[in-house]
Amino acid sequence: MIRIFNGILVSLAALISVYFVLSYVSFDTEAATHDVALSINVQEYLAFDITSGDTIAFGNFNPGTPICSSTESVASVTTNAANGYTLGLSDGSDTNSALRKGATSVYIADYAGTIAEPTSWTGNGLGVGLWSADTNKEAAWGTGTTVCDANNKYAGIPSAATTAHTVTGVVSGANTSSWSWKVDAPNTQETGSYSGNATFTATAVLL
Amino acid sequence: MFKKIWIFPVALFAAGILMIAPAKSQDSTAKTGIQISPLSYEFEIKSGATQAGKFTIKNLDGVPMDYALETELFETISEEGAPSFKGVTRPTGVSTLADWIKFSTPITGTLEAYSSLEINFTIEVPANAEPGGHYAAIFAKQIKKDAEGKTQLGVSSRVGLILLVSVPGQVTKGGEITSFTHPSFVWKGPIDFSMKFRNTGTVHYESIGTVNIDPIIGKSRTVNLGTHTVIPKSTRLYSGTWNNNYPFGYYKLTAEAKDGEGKTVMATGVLWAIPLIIVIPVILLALLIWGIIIYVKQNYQVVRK
Repeated sequence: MIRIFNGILVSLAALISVYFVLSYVSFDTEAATHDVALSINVQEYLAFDITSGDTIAFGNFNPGTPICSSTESVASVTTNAANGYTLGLSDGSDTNSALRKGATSVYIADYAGTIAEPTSWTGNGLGVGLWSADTNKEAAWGTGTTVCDANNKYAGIPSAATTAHTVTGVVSGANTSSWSWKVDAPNTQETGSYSGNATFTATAVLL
Repeated sequence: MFKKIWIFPVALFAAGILMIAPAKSQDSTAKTGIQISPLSYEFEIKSGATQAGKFTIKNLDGVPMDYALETELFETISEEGAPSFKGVTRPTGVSTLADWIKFSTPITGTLEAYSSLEINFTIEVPANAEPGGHYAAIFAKQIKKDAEGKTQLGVSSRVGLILLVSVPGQVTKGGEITSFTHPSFVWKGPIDFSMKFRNTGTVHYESIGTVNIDPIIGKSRTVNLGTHTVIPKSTRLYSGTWNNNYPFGYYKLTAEAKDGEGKTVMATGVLWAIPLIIVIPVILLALLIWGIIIYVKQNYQVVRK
């Protein structure tokens, strides 16, 4: 009987001890807290590069025999812009191409086709054509599948940046487009070396 | 036992190789070129007031990059939302947004390899600025030197930040739906809708396009054509799809968009939908019933008692 009573007392003591221990643990977890508000504004960015073909060397050519450069210019855009991006072309000159003879005022003319209406190659001038694109190669640029495909269509480069290629919507990773360059000149073109720069402009598409 | 001893260190070595390899491949696909952030700002600036802004350009290449800052106006955008720029030449005798932009740093410089530069600018709107929308872009252009003496073309990169500025005052915010394209008759869905909305006002605003589809019997549906920023003298293309594979019957279509003053502009149309998956079985059933009736009439006779 006494043993049973002692056992009950010990059990009660153990239970009470456990209760106090748990109460202590509860106090510990009820320590004072204070929320810290966190916020971040992820901005849109656009990274652009001509990953290859940033220099197009046409070499020697005879007027009347057009040269298509086997070197393509590959434009690469990486962006998180929600509505996509647009590529424009410009050379700072209205009717002349970027190719100027030295420091003179003698130029090779712009190709007659326009960015709004590129044409199959005919005539003279410096022309550019979009022959391949990861996304949305516009039908206006023709059905060519290689850099100097006869089915490519070409345009002269305008003075101010004019949209030549647009990719709408979210772009995943690097999005590229490949551009072909072609040139011809009349027999009256002055001999000598011609050089200059054309510019690709990348901006986000507006909402 | 000897074999079991060597398994663990070999596995550890292989795991180490696997951990290293992906990191190496990430290095080899690093971006190059020039980067700009953010990509657009929209400000409302009173006449005579000044607004500050900033953007960051970054050289992603492993060599220093010469750059130049340029500003160009644009007055129209394409239906997809691409601006048409007017070049760096300014119209004479007219003060434009491109003239109001001032940079806190020189407009040319050199970005060291993998370095960023934060550029502050202000837009100082003159007191006599015309109320309405004014639009321009700030460009960061990679400078390439002409290679004289060689017949070659250099190709440069340029990235842009678009500015949409409205000067409050006497402005109008009208708009109109110039076209609403939809099929008139379909055998099945889904059904594509498109609408062109033109800003006839003098300042830009955002407009949401929708198409309400109302059947004679049943529940109406609304297709969202998207939200676009429409600048004056420009038309934006809205498009959407009604994802109903088996529409049936007559539907009244109403394309809606709100102009900048909150007024709803509408264009209506009609759609007939007769899905073949319902029509063909019904026709076959009708033919079958008709055939049975004819057969019974020809081969059986009602005999009255």
